Amino acid sequence: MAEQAALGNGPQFLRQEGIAAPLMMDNVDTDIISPIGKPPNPGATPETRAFEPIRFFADGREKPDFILNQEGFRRASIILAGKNFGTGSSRSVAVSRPLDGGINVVIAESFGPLFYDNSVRQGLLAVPLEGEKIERIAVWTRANRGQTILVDLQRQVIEVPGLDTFEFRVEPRVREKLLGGYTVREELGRLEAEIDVFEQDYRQDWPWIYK
Amino acid sequence: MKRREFIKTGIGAGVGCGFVPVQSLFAQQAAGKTLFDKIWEAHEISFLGGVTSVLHVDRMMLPDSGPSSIRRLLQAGEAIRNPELVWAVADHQVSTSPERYTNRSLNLGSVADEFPEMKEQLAAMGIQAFGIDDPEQGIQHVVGPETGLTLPGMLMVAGDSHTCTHGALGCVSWGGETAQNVLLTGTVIRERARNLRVNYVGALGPWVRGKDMILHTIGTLGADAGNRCAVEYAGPLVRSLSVEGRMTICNLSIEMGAATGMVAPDDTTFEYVASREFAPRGALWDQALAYWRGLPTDDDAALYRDETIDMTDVEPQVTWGISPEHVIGVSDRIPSPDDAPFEKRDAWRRALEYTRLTPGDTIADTPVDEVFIGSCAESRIEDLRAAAEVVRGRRVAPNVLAWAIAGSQPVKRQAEAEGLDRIFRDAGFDWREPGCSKCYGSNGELVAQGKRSVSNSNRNYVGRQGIDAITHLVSTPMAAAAAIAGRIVDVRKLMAGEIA
Repeated sequence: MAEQAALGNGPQFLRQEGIAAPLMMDNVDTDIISPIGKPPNPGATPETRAFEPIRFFADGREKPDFILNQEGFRRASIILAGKNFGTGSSRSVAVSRPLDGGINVVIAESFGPLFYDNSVRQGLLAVPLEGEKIERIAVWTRANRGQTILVDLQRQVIEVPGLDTFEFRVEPRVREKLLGGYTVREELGRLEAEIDVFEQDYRQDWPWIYK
Repeated sequence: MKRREFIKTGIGAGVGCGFVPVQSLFAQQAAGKTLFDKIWEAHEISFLGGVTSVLHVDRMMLPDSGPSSIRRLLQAGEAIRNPELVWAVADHQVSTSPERYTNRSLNLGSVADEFPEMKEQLAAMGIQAFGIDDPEQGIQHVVGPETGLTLPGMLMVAGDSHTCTHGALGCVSWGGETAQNVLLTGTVIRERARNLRVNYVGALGPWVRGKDMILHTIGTLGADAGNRCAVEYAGPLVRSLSVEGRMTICNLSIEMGAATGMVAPDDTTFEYVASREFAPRGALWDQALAYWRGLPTDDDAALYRDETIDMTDVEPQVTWGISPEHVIGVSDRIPSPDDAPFEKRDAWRRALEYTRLTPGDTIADTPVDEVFIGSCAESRIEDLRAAAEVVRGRRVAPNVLAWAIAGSQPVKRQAEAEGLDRIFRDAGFDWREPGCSKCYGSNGELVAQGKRSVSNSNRNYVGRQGIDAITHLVSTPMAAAAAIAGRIVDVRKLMAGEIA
């Protein structure tokens, strides 16, 4: 299949073939994913700044129990997680630092609302999937270290070789935005006439809103 | 006036950032509407399929970088779509040191200079910008309601995650929006949240307040309970709370993983809003009020989920772990991972390893290094009064570093007029200037590495207040009590003279 060129100026996501790392925790918060207001960990590189507090000790040594520090998972591009992944703040680095480290997909039971919005904006694919299916993929990926799975947004499927093909669904707007590579402004630009009409009425009807 | 009729729009099975159980589809077919649905539909410009819509924004609240963001856009030849709906305040990048006004380099970047430089130009466009020299400056989620820039019925957006605080006035508010997108389009694209209502019943015991209500709720329902939901806090206990107490509850909605939190507007709300600087007046007030009175959730509105929390016998709450759901009463013992629900055992083990606590020990008497009173959760005048009542005539324990920060300049002026600053200072607290500070380590204001903090803020995540720092979330008077005792204590016992 020929690669589809981006139609807009935003980040495009078509599919990701890569290693899936099981970070099977609930409530992975944005202060774990990307701390702010603190000096960077001495061990971190631009590629390993995501997950600093659970990736490194304060002195910069790697924490061996962190999945991305383990052989077979260092080059993972897909994270498997539990509920409420990315709960917490709106910081854009909660998405950009994983992206800088090559993490392009997070498959989780549910997402923190602001991480989710950031992921749509920045082109990281947040895939909601039932916990039992994520657990099956996690078991598979632990048993098949270094082997890749495929996350295809066009067909909305996750293909795990020798295990199963899992269907998922994202919002139609998210799929269209990421496949087309549109920016939010480009998405809204197409609706400009509609917005204009709405706002004219709105200003008439709701004068107390306007300071 | 067509928008006022709350036209019903059927919505299909969406997916988005979590799963939609089947009952929610039926819920959407009910006749009545919720507070959230009414406001959503009044702002809906275009439906994009699934559960996604384009919405009109009534207020865009900009952070410290607001003036420079606007300047950049104007220099690039762009037009701000609805400038009179925009306002900005410096909070995240400001120092809370009293020297920040004279030594302006204490403030991060050029935040101290950009506001005065841009003030007139922005004012001409209808944009209020409050820098450190302005009498309105403070933490944005204190300033918005306090100035009347936040009003019931609005769709209010910002970058900061705790924008959900403003829902206490009966508006829809959320963070996570990009300044540029909203400034240029006046709109946002969002997925419609489901309706979760939390009804509070019973009675609040002495020294139990809004903070304890929401911490207990998150502990009971879980930190993910709000995923894809707009939470409406309801019931007699919420009705009896002041708007400030309601703000504390709504503030932690994001800690429940919710899209937003709200309280239906009532006479308490209208009385609070009426005298505010930017609130509508005269005929506009009457028009707004008539609309606001129609906002509360209809009796026959169906909900995705309806929960009841009985506050009877609930004690002042303290977190013991690294998620706001890791919370117990102050008389309780540290739980054991062996007693956790199976899927939470690992998380509890990791949490206890991080917080260096032993299962079976009481949470009370845990020694404390630092105490932080401030933040958008609780730094309003009622919070400071409650803390001052605890602190009055007492001394901060030796070796405890205690800070008290009013949430805004008006709160600070009011506190000083009441002599609260003297009470804090005489006890050994640092009385500082309004800003975000140690809630997340803003401007280098961090809890020292590995130290234990008792904080009236909203997040106890790993490293949130400083590297390897441990945070115990509590209410403001509980934080004050910990500062005095030098350890976590029950504020009720301290006030009864049962603790030396």
